[in-house]
Amino acid sequence: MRLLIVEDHPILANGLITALKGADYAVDHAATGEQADHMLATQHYDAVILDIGLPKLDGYEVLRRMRRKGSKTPVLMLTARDALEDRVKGLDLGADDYLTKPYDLPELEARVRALIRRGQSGGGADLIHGDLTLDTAGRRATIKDTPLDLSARELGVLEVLMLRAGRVVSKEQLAEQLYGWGEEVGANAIEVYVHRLRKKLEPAGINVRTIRGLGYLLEKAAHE
Amino acid sequence: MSRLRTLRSRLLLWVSGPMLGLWLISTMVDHEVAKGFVNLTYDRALLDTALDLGRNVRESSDRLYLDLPQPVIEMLISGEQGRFFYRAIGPGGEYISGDPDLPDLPPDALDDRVTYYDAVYRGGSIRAVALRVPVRPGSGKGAILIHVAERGTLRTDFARQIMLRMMIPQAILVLLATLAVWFGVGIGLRALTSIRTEIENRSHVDLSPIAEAGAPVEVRPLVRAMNDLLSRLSAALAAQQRFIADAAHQLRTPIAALKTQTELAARQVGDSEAKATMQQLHTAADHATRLVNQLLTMARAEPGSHRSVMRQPVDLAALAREVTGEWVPRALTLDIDLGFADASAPVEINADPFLIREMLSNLVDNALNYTPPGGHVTVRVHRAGDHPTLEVEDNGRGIPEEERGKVFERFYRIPGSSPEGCGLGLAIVREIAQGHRATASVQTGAGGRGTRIIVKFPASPR
Repeated sequence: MRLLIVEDHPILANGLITALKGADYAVDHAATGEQADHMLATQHYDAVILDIGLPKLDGYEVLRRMRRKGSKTPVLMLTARDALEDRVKGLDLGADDYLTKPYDLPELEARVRALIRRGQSGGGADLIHGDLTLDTAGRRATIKDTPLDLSARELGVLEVLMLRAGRVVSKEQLAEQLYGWGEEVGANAIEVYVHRLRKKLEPAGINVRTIRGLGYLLEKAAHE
Repeated sequence: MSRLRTLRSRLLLWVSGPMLGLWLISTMVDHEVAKGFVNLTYDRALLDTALDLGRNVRESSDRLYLDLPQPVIEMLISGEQGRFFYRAIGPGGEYISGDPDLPDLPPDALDDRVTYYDAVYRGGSIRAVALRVPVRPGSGKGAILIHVAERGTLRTDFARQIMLRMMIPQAILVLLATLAVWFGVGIGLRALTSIRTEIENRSHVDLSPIAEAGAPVEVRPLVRAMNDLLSRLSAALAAQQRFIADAAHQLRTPIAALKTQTELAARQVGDSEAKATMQQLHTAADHATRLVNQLLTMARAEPGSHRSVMRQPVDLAALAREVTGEWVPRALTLDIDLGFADASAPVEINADPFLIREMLSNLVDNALNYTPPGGHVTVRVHRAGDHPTLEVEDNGRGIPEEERGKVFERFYRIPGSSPEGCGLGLAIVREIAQGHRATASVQTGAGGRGTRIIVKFPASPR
């Protein structure tokens, strides 16, 4: 896996290079927009970490040129600005993800992993959460290759929870998702599905937490 | 000068002062006019008396005498005591009748048939008429000179009475005009009320110009001057905000470098004492991150920020639910039960959603920092009467009564609290609340434990 880091701050760039090399990526570094533009034109990368605040040719411009040339390489934008407008601009230009400085290194590493996975699978049919795998195309879930016996609705609930693992999913969001699949469900029904799902996931040590007044949350797997 | 502090008393002085002067002058003029008419009338009566006397001059063989009928005598003598006097003198200067020592005509008087003159007699002023009556017309025997005089006090009393009667209605007029000024000023100044209301109702972060259109023409220069000041103020504040925001942005990259390097170092050194040191460095970098983020938020919430006018209808309940949800993962790592309780119906406020989100984040962050593992934090949105209200309650150690006034101050930290916070969180909450004309207050949590922070928005229709 080959990554390009575009960052003008030498110490930060050095830290990122060291960290990602440690994770067995081949890492190239560009300190300016022009350099990055040149390297992207001549080399192939699996993902790009792109700082917005670069001298002269800024990150937005590098990204714009990349996408104009038809490059589909996933891009994670780094910025010292967090205003909503900046974020929207980056995503509109075709960035795949967005991280505000200063970030936690593990978070950046996880985002890079996710970016590369997305780039490879072209949408990603399998959702993985610890030992739990959900094949969204085949509509089946397995724990350590042992199939789980889930109804279509339970599977639907599980998919939403896995897509937003570690984050809160409201009952409304779950109901909306099931409604989207042609099912009409109330809040009480959602509670029943979650209750059943929880029982089936418990043996594998996967916990669906109830968050007071907010909904549910699939707790982060220990090793993701 | 202190009496002239109000516009009303100034106007009153400048209107009623000259009016009082005019009233005095007009009174004096009235007096003169009255005196003129009174003289005219009384002189006429005096002459009539003299003519009456003249008609009664009789001639005997050797002398002239006055044959006065009883009514005339009574009028002259027994009338009002000492009011009238008369004297008749023959053509040769011989005394005929009356008061012999009555003052004579002034020396410069013309030799007219009728002459009026003023004189002093028996210690008082008198008005007199001298009438020449021929003894026998055409006889060439000369003329008798008849003087009739009356006390001057009669006339002055009468003129004074006329003057007094004219003074009273004029005084009432002055009084009424003064009252009219008093109330008129009040009514006139009501035109300023709309400007006052506009200024009173604006939030302290709103430095936009005051509308000039509703102001009276006289007040517009004042409004313009105020608007000029507002615009200079807002430019100065904006420059300051920009500086803080830029500084915060600039700090982010070096802090990111610091965090990345300490994280890496902690991995490289393995389980040694150095690892603990690295982790402390990392924690310090995290604190710097928080501080930078809060400074940025502060800069955005303060007056002069371009965000201060970005108001729109916001469903407080939905926004609070969303923000609380975002904090759940952090609460779980701290082993704190973070929950939400809402009024099921939307609670709409007119607000800047970005700032309300920041306010909520700071409230929840603050509550999580002051709640021990195993504790509860609850975000609540409801209506207290007509007031949309946001509450964040925890069952942590609470804030002592005497500290509550200070917790909203910048960089204030409760003595003995953990070094997690930098003392800006609640200052940001207050700043944003004030910007939305809301109030932030601290109470003790349910069951006498922990803290409940309440943000009460201005009343709005349901």
